[in-house]
Amino acid sequence: MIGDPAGAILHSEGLADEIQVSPRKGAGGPIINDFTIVAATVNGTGSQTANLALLRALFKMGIPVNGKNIFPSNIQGLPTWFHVRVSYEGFVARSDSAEIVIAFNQSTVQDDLAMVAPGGVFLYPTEWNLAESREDIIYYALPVNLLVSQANGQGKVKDYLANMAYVGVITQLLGINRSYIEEALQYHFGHRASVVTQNMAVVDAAFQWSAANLTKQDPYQVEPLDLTAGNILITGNEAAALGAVFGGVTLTSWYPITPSTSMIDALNDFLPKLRTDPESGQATYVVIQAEDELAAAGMIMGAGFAGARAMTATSGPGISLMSEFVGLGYFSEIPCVIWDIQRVGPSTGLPTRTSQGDVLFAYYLGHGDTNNVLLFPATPGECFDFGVQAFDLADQLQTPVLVLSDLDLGMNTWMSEPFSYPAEPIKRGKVLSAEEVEAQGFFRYVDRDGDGITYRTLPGNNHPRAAYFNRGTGHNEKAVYSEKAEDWRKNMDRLKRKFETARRLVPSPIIDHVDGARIGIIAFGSTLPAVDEARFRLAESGLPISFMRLRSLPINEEVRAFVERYETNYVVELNRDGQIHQILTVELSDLPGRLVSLAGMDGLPLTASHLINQLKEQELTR
Amino acid sequence: MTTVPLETVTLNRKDFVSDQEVRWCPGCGDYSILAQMQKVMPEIGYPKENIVFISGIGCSSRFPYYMNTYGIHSIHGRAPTLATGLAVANPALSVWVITGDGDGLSIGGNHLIHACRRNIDLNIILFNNRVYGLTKGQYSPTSRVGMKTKSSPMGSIDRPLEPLALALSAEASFVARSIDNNPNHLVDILTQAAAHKGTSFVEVYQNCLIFNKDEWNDFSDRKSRDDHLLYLEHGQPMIFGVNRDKGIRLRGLEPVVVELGNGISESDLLVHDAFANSTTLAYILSRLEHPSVLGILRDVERLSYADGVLGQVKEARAKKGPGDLATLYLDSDIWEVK
Repeated sequence: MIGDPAGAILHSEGLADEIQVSPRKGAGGPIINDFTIVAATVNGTGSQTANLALLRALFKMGIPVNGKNIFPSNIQGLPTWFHVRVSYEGFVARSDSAEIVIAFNQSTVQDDLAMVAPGGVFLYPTEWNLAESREDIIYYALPVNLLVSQANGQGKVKDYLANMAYVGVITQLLGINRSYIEEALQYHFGHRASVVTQNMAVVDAAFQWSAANLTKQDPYQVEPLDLTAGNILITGNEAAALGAVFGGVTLTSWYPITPSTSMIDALNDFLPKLRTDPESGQATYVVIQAEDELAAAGMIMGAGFAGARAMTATSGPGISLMSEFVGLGYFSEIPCVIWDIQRVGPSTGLPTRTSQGDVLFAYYLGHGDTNNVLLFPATPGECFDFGVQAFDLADQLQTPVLVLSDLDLGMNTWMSEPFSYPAEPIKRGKVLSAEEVEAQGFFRYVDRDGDGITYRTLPGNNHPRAAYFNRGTGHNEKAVYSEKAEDWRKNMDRLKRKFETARRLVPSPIIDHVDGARIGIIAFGSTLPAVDEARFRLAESGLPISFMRLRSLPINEEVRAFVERYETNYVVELNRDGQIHQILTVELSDLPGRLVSLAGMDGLPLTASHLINQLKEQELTR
Repeated sequence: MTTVPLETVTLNRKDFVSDQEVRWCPGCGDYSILAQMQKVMPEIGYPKENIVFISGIGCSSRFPYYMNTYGIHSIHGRAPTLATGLAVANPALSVWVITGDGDGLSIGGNHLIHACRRNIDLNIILFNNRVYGLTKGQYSPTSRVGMKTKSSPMGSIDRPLEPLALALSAEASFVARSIDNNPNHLVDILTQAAAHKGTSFVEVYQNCLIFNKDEWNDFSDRKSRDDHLLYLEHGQPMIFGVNRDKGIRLRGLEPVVVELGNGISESDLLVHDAFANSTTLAYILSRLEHPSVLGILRDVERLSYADGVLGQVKEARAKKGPGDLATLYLDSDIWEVK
């Protein structure tokens, strides 16, 4: 905890007090649209259907929501927790506090019970005959078997239907619009009307049972709002896949790995519908499941050399395997896009938990002097935008571009503004046609424009001088093999110059200067909602904080200006070693002492209260 | 060095059960393979402390969690490399590689063939369910052409690999196949694999109930499965069928199924020769689909890698005598300023 605050802080006396995050404690009245539901279930029992139905119904009611699945590395049988954050204020970060816990997994009951916030609700099956040991919470026991059998649920579906019992009870207890649950299930099951009917029978049985038998003792309620109209619910991976389609992806090669797989699943879903030539009926794309990530990287480089917009999606272990090819792509200048949906490493680590731990590795990926362009999407909207922009940047800079998303952003369900059609046409970079080769001449690595970016041709260009040999060995401006010291140095200097050019092409940071702010937060990617919420609460307590959200590396002058402006810049990231902090410290080495690392990672998405506590501790002891 | 004095103890199955709760999906074929392996372990003649299980990534690669032995849960596809280092560094160990059709044949295909080629003293057990499990149902290198999965929505167009044919091409010295639902057969094959010196490659047909439940339907019904399976026995004619009324004959280089009777007798049938030095017959058998063969296709003696390496050292010492560090130093190209 914090030391004696007296005298330790000049600007923000309010910091010493307990800062409440959601839900705000009322005066004993109802708590409306401000709580977190956690459903603890067994992996592979269909609980995801139940949880998404609740999430979608709340969203449909106009209430801001976020759904996070905290799941194990296992196909079936291990515990999984689904968090539904409900927030009238629009805060969608993970919350440390669980107000309503649905306990449907007997093997985790003690942990789940401990999770319930004081005054919260614990919903569990009557069949467990649980001793209701906590006096500070409200227990509701529901007769799951009875409700399922009332709805004629039999055989194997019985286990799946059981989850609908809690949907019915929660719907009744909170005041969720029943018809929205039905709509959500219709959406989920598509045209399989009988399945919807079967599920709704359990929902209704539970709803009626709850109305007749449960006395509501808890303060939690929902009321319709108008805060989600026009928005969509989507995962980052689906948004990224859609962006890639808009960006003109033609070749994807990949190897299955959690948590990137759902991005390729989405591509496989979208592409046949959207990228089939109407006249010939032929596909205008290909998705290849390669034998491993190394092969996938090779395939996209080959396609990039051919001029295709080529991409892969992977996670940390795949990035490790791709490192040699990324070095080739950097050095021989081949455009391609690599999505890294980060999970917890090193090694196999925690394959189903989130992290921002690949930043340093990806930035320098490849042996020798290698610098790579990184993009950091923070929202599904940015996943979509970067789906397009990553291809533009790869083509413009003729280099691999790595997009660092993560499991939380990629696999969880987020509210988003609808995506807009890219405002600008696709940027294909410096590619010469046969006519241009005739008119201008062509040597592959001559820096005609002084920006480090040279002109390339594509196989198929039939000009007699168009062909060149793309090599990973030392070469001169004419792409001819060379071991001359001068050629080597000149080429590597040009690549560095190209990286300087990248600084002005990559997406700029999003900066929010706040009046009276003495300190700043620097963050990137999926920590955005927690940072937003923490800043809001801290501003209420008298500590205004400015914010710069990095959207890419390398950094540009705006980043420098932000760091210069604040005496302390807290660098927030989900890894142990403060990887962005390290990069900024090196690149802004003339601004010592202004960057303070707030790095940390345990596999879970950042919460506002964790960040608030970290900031308070820092501010009160500095 | 101190050694802990140990008395010789008799081990049983339970000694090989680890304290980890076994977590595969209900009905997974891996449970049976695990049970048979634990049954085999006390019988293979190795002290428990000399047994090591190594795996990569995938459902099958969880296997070593549940064996109470030394083990490594390593990285995807690379178990044969670790196992090679281990087996060569300490030839007294019984080293088991547990892999699957994705881990072993896709990402790890390269290492698998080179382990077989070098004849490292390993027991490689490849669980083949013809699908990716842990990443939730993509097609694998052994999936049939046309198999629809999330990653092959219009059906796979990749030709499947036949694991046994691949191992034979790499000249594995022991090549066999068994199935998860025939415990006695599996125990027998695992026992013989353990006894073999050099690379033992065993494919186990394994049922993935969640993502590919109908793959081995022909082999699931105990009453009818023998119509689809040929159990190989060295020196015996290839007869199969519930009523043992069918056999395999060669027509040119092609194996064909014939009904016994009507002038066709056992003497017309192919006779299995597991000890043949040539891989030709084993290769033909590995490609058979109706019926599929179970049993040992090939079991030959070939110098193991560790013996080869040690043999070379022995030879060098025999020729040149034992080395001497001072001599080595003075022999090397050193420019000494005097």
